[in-house]
This record gives sequence, C-alpha cells and structure tokens, in this order.
Amino acid sequence: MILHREVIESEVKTGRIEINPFKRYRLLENSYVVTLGEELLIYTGDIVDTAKENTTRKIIIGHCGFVLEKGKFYVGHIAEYIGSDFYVPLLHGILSVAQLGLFIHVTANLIDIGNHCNFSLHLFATENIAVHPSMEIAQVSFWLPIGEKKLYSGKYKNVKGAAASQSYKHAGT
Amino acid sequence: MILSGKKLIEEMQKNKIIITPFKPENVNPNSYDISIGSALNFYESDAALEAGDDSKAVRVNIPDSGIVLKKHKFYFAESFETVISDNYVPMLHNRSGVARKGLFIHITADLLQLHHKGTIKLQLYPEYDIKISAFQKIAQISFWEVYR
Repeated sequence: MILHREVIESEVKTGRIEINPFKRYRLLENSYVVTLGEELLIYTGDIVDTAKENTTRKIIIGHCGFVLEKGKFYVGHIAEYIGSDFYVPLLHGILSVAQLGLFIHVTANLIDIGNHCNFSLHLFATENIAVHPSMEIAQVSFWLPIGEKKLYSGKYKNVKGAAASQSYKHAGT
Repeated sequence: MILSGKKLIEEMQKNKIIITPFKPENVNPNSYDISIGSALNFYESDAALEAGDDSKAVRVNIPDSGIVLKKHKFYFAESFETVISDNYVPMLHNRSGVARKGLFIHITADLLQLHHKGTIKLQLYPEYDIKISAFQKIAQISFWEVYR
C-alpha cells in the first residue's frame, strides 16, 4: 500500500521516515516533493565501461543555473537526505519538470529499505533545459512492505551528493 | 495493494472511481487502457526551457490521417478520458504494444495523486519515427490502495 500524506507526516515525526530538511508544504496527497542538489556528474570517456571505474567531470550548479543539453545524460542527486527502515521509497517525476522533456530517472525508481541518502537522479534531457539548485525536481512515495526486513548495506549506502556508477565492483557477477 | 480489473469495475459501480468515457473492453486484468486525445504539444525553439515554460509549447491537432512523431523529439499530450479517483492512487504505465514500438509515454511522471480529477498527462518520446492517431489506445492506468 502507498502511504497517505498524513502517515508520511506522522512517520517523519516518529523518525520512522527520515526526510531532512522536511517542509510540510512539500507534501502532496501521497508523496513528498524533493529538490535538486547542486552536483552533477557527466562521464567523460567515449565509452562507459561497466567493468571499470569511469572518469567523470563534476559540475556544481551555480545560482545562475546550468543548462542540461538536449540528448545528454547527467547523474545528479536530490538535496534532501531521505530514507526509511520501515517503508520502501519510490522515486517519480513531477509534471512541471516532465513537461519540459526531462527524465529524472532512467527506470531505476526503486530505493532500498534502510538506505538513507541523497537519492541519485538520472537526468536525461530531451530538450535544452535550465536547472537551478533547490528547484523542485521529483517526488518520493513510500510503500508498506510485507515480510521480514533486511536493511540495505550496499555500496551506495548513505551516499551524499552525486555518485557515479560503482557496478565495476562486482563486474562479471 | 493493486486493484484487479474486476475490483476496478466494482469500484466504478460504486462511483469510487469514475472514468469517462468508460469502455468495458478497456479493462485489463489489473489496469485500464486509456487513449490519447486529439491534441499534441511540442517545443519549436532550442532555447533553454525553464520550469513553467510548458505554456510556450506549440499545440497542434492530430489530423484524421494521423501524425508522425519524429524520432528523439519530445511531445506532450493528454488522455482522451477523464479520471476521478478519491479512494485509490492512480499510476500511469505504458502498454506493451506501444513500448515495443519504442515510444515512451511518460518520462518518469508516473505517479498521480489521490483525488485526481481530470485527464492524464502524457509525455511522448519516440525512439523511431512513429505514426499515431488521435483517440488510439496509448497507455494504461492502475489503481493502488492507500495506507492511512
């Protein structure tokens, strides 16, 4: 089941959901709107090799904003630090951004229970789109799991800022 | 939990979900097929877009003969149907027949809100030149139980 806004809010108060900073006005009926963090990464090599650590260039989005180029892909992150040991977060786009032609994930929308972090954004621009730090960029819903829980302890646990792929750490598996 | 097609029909009979127009043949095992309306929006300029600039998009009507969506060009549109859902959260998904042609029908804005009332917004991004017609079935919506 998907959590109603009243449950999201009460669970933020009990600490069973972490959203930091939490702004009540960003609650929708069944999700919480999150904002864009300041770091972006782009892969700099001609080939992104899934078996190796790839070189990236870090961009800090200044107050004047940054234009995401049509057809280009960027790794970003949300400004908020979010996680829950009790509910499963899912990441979704918001219409104000989607209608400009910006993907905010490329199908990796499911977050692990127990991973508290700045969720990664996978930004694919189908138009030239100006973005600004702290702009509303996405929304997070929370879902009730069933069954015994084992909390996330993987390589992106508690990550802050934009983090490039680390799948080379288990290449071949 | 997600509503089955049968439960969706039951809830429609109680007016807990209202889909207009409603066609029984559009009910799937756990979703409902929706169609694209007759209008299509797109951006003409390459100038960088800011939040709120969707009002700058050009709006065209899809002619009776259909329209070709150009590969790697972004469009947005709305469903022909209107949906009212005060008890369940709707989510938007592609249909496998459309997806198999390489057409995204949303670009990650799949979550709707409880008390949704209106059309469903679609974002179209084709991986090929793809011809579509107004009112053709293009997506599906599922309904999810809320934890209060």
